[in-house]
Amino acid sequence: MYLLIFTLKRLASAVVVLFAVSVLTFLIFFAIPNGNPALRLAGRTATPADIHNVEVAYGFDKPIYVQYERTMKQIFTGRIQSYTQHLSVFSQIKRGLPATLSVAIGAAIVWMLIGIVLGVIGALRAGKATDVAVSTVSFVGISAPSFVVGFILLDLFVYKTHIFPQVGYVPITQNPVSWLTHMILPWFSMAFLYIGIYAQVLRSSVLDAVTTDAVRTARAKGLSPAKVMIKHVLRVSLIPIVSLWGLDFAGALAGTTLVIEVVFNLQGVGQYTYNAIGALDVPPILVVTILGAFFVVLMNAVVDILYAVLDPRIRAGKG
Amino acid sequence: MTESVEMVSFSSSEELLRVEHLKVDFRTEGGVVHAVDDVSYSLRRGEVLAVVGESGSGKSVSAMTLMGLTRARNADISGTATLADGTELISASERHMQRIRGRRIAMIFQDPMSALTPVYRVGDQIAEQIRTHEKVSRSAARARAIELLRRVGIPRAAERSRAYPHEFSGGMRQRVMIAMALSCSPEILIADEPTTALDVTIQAQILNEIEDLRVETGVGVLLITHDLGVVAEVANRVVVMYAGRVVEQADLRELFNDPMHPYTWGLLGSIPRIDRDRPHRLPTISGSPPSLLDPPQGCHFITRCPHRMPKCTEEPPLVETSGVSGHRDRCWIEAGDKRRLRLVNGSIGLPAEIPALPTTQESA
Repeated sequence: MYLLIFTLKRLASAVVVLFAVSVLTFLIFFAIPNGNPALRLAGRTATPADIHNVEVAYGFDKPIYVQYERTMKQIFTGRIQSYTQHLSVFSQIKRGLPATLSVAIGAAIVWMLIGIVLGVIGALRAGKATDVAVSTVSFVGISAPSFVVGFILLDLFVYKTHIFPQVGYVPITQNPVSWLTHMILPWFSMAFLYIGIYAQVLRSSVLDAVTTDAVRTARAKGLSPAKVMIKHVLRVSLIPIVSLWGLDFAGALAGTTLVIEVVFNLQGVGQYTYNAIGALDVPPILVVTILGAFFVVLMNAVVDILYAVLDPRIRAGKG
Repeated sequence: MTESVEMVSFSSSEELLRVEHLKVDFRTEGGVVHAVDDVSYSLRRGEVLAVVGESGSGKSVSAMTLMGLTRARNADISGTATLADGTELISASERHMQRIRGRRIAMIFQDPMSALTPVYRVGDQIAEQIRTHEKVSRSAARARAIELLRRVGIPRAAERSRAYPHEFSGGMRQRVMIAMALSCSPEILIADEPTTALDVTIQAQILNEIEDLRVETGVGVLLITHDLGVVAEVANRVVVMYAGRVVEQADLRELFNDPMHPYTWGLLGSIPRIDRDRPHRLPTISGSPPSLLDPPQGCHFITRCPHRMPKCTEEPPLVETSGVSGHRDRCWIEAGDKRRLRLVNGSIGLPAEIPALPTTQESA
């Protein structure tokens, strides 16, 4: 019963969010100068008459809400095409998705694992040189934009030392090893920022946890330091990290991948969107934005469920 | 260290724990904190030894030190604490202490609300301790956990063992803690303010529980408390601590009937009594305990004692002055004078006014 209400509430809020996002995205391209798609559809040498014909043919002369309705209909029937290439937006997204998911999922795993390790090391060595080093690296990561990190890594490991292959994407189905070597630099470029944040968040939550009465009880039971750390400190400290992770993963997939794909020429959904933005090509931008927003809403719900699974106190509170 | 504190000669077969010359110093940025300063006592099978004192008297630190829980880079610990079989706790390795904690010495703490890890079922937390010390299957450990919960008076124990800590009240959580402490049949149970965070009615239940267990299992209980009411109810012997030192130790009756140290008089005088007219205000011991960073020279109680005299700047030894074997105190006043001075308005207490400090070598 509770799950049903939860799901319905989430669906309702998802609908509201998606509607708002789609309207805003749609409107912004009418507001910006030179946003009229008929100009580009008609071609470079078009006369004003040609442009007018295009406007009529595509319905750009109609009131804005009519245009919105038409576009949304095309999206939900899956027939929407880009203005510039006249290709199905959904098939283009489908083509780019493996690269985008490879980057985002891989980076999320990298930053979670390294963040946890560094956070625990920082907490165990609090105040010592190791801790200071970890904190310094963390803050460099938090302050450095991911594309800058990407270019630095490219320069060091591809152009100067040739440790990693040239940029581009190799499907995992085609050559898993090559896929991996092409992915490592994008993963780390993207993960650097989050590693810094996660290490700092975990460090402080571990430091809070080790002084709790519950941990003292665990030690008084005769547990080994490793067991106390893993079962009684980390298990509790990881709860906020896991929820943070869900949201950051959604945010990274819907945002940061765009920059990383361009830097490493991965030809994923992000780069597709990047090109569409450059061409003021509304349909791909609209679809990607709506999908991204939907994914964020979805991950939010997943995080809430995860939270309840991980923390029995939350479960009781919502019952 | 002039006084050689040889513990009263209890028959050594009964002795579970003998603490001798225990000292715990913590090096901090502000200087060295002398948390425990040459403390000795012993605990016998089947008795409740109460260690009484205010916050900061070192009572908890000394107990935690027995468990090896105060070990840290900035802690200097010396002295000995010997179990019945000769195991010495202060010098034992951390690995060795892991086998002792929870198995031979178990501990329950002041605040049961936060003493359990919130994300595990209580039965599993008890089973975890059993499986740490004994090679038993998970299901056998769980079954024993349920039996223990039933034993400490938790209704529907099998069902409740699957509940999480937040689903228990404070008193019930303390019962869970007791069940956990008993899970490996320890020789010694250290109870650090076990009833302080609980309602008065629940306090009595928990004390009864501890009392029953003592009688049934012969466990020696080291009860850390500031509450003389609790002491009167369950203790067999009492150690009074002040500012890191033992100032008086005696059997329960002796201590209440013939207290020999002014600090003890102050403690006894500040308990409300139902057999006397109620005063307008409960008497208190004026002042506050000295900083353990820089304790006063000589008797530590000198700064608050209305009966102080010049000799008090010399450290008094812990000796038998009352004439009863095993009743020791750390005060220079003659026994006869003490019995006269401790009476304030017909009952034991401390007068409120403190005479000017002795002029000799009073350091800042």
